[in-house]
Amino acid sequence: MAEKRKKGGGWGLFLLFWTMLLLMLGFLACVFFYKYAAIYEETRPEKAMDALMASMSEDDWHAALAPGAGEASEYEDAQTLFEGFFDSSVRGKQLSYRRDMSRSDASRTTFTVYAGPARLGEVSFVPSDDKLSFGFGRSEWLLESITGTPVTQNLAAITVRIDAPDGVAVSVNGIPVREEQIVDPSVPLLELTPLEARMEARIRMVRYELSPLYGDIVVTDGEGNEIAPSGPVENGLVSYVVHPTQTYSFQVEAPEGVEVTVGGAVLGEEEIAARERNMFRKLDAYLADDGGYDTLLYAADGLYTVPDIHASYNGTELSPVMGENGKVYFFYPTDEDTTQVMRNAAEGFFDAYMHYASYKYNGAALNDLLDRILPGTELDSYARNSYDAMIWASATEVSYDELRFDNFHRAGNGCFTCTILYKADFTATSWYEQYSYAMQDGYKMVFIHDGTNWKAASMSAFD
Amino acid sequence: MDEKKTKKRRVNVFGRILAFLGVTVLCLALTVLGLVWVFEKGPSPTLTGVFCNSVRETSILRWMSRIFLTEEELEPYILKSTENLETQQVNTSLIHIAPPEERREKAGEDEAALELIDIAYGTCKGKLLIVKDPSRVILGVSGNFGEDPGLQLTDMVAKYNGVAGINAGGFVDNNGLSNGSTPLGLVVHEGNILFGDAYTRYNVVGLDGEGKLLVGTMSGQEALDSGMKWGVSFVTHDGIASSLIINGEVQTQNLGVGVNPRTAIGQRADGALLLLVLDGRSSKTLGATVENVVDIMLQYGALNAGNLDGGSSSVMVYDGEIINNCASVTGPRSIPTGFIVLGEEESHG
Repeated sequence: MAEKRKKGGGWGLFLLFWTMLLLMLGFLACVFFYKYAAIYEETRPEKAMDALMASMSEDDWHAALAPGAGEASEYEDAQTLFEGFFDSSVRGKQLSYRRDMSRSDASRTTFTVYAGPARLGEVSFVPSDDKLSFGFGRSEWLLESITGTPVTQNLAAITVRIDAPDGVAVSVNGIPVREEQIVDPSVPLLELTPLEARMEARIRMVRYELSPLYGDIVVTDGEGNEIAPSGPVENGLVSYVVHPTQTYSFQVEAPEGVEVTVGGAVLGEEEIAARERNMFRKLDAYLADDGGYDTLLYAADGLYTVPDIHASYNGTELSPVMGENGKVYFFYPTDEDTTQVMRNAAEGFFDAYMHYASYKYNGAALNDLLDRILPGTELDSYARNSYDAMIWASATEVSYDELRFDNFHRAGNGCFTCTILYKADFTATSWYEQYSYAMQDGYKMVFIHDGTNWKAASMSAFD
Repeated sequence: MDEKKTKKRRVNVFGRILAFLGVTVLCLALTVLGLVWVFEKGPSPTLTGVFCNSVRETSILRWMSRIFLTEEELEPYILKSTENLETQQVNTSLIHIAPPEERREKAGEDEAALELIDIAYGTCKGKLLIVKDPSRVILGVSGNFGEDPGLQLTDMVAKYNGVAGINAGGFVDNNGLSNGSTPLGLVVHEGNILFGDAYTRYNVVGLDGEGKLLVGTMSGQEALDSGMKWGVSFVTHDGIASSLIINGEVQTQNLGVGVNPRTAIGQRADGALLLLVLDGRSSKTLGATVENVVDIMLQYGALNAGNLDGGSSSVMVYDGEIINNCASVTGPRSIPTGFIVLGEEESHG
């Protein structure tokens, strides 16, 4: 019986011992875990990060993040972008952080710092070497580095599109754009006059695109004028149009029936500024019914393209005569049946005219000239009335560098027109001095046959 | 006499074994209780937060957070409910989905239309499926809600001839004992409200007709007005809303610290959908915080993202098989809704 009790007591003791052991182990596990939890809390990297966040002022963050501003394109300065970004998106804002698990392990913890949605940079901590002060292999975390995020990652990228005349200097933020940035070498320019819109050969506009840019953009043309954007930024794109600084105009005088083109566009009614009798003015009484012709004056301005003017008559290309003020004249081409008599008449008239004009008060010269002018015409009156004035003129020697009689054209029965162009050197001698000058000039002439000879009926200078 | 002795000895041995086991289990229980006490009342508020949030996100263990803590004591550790807060609206113009031809060309030439990635982020592990063509993703449903039982995701994917899928919205759980028949909140299917109503506000995650992800707090009618074609809602037991990222902005008010298996859906600016399932409750990984989910989504370029039902429900099916480590001890759960990835030729768009 005693042995039995002894046996039962042994089991009870074992069970008691086992229970005590388990309780002891459980208690130790809880104590162990409690201690670990305390150390875990003390050695959390977030604790170090909280302390850092509390200790740093805005200016401290500025100083720490600025070196990481990164690089921008040649048109912008990363530091300037950073300053703008920091002032607008960081100052006065609540900063937050999140642990970057993908870059955190036992040897390093990295946090990303935010101001709202903007990612400012990264803060890294490494464990201190002193692992004994806490136990469980854990130690406090020491700041390793603060690295700023490149500022361009926090700014919206925009593409700047600039349409500008080819060859015109354009700058963005003071830096000239380069040929490599041309994305379209042929961009249509809006706002053209109807004529220029019809021209085949017109100003060439090129399109530059610069991307990515992030900050304020100032676009200037070659003369430093600031260009306003065509509209607000839309889908990351802002456009500018640099208009040509120079505009062109022209005046063309041509007989009716002559086809005049500018840059390949045929001039039409829209470009006709005047239709007039011109050199046949007041000659109707001397002309047969089919005599003379109207002259058309074409004019246009506001062209961005240098006007390239050509004319033709019945398929024959005409040579222009340039007036002093840039006015362009065309005439009918020389008729094939132009006679030597007509040429002689023109040459004889001009010779007599210059002879008279050069020898001042000379009645014989005037009479010679009047013999070659159709009496009763304005030209006749003009020549006669000039006689008294010639007393004040200086005797002049003329030597021609060039003298041309062109564009002989029959303008009806008994009438022809021609042009006289010359380049000459004049030496005038007055009672007190002698002086020389060169002159290039010309006349539009009308000759009418008086039944015997060809007589000059009209003489008009080129403008 | 010998027989009686033998019988007595047997009873004695059996009693001793029972006593031994009883004492052992009791001591272990006391130890676990002690550990829970350290979690809840111990010196680490961080561990307290993680523990309480983790168990509160589950249906079955939710009570454990209140063993040693009162509701008032719990308050500092638990996020305040956000389910009724107004959220930002998703700006769908930030999402640029290439036209189908361009997309197919691209997918055929230089990239796979589906990309399956093994996720290892800190201690989190899981799978991320990138679906380049968002029009391939629809919402699958199990059948008539409340009548038909839920389907396991493998069956649901097969039902729609899909190639992949993830679980979607929350559902009536009955402490893990339900058959997944009845959803919670809103279900929008093919542009119609299939469950829920037009006037109640829900924390919605869905796709519009173009395949653009919509997340946020909205009524059923607002969801339809925004063009939602497929949608579910999800909210945690503590009322934390499902919006994670809206227009690139992290919805920090919804980032609880509990560690659990997670399912989420996100979308990149190019329209690609990110289907994410993170494992948990195993020796390989305890799980992920919602913040971890956000970090992974951001890492893969998500502009918008929403949280879906997690825990034991988190599951991803690919090529007819479950490819994550499902945390449910009873095997894959039957669920009422799942986002299904259709085959290339069967996109809904």
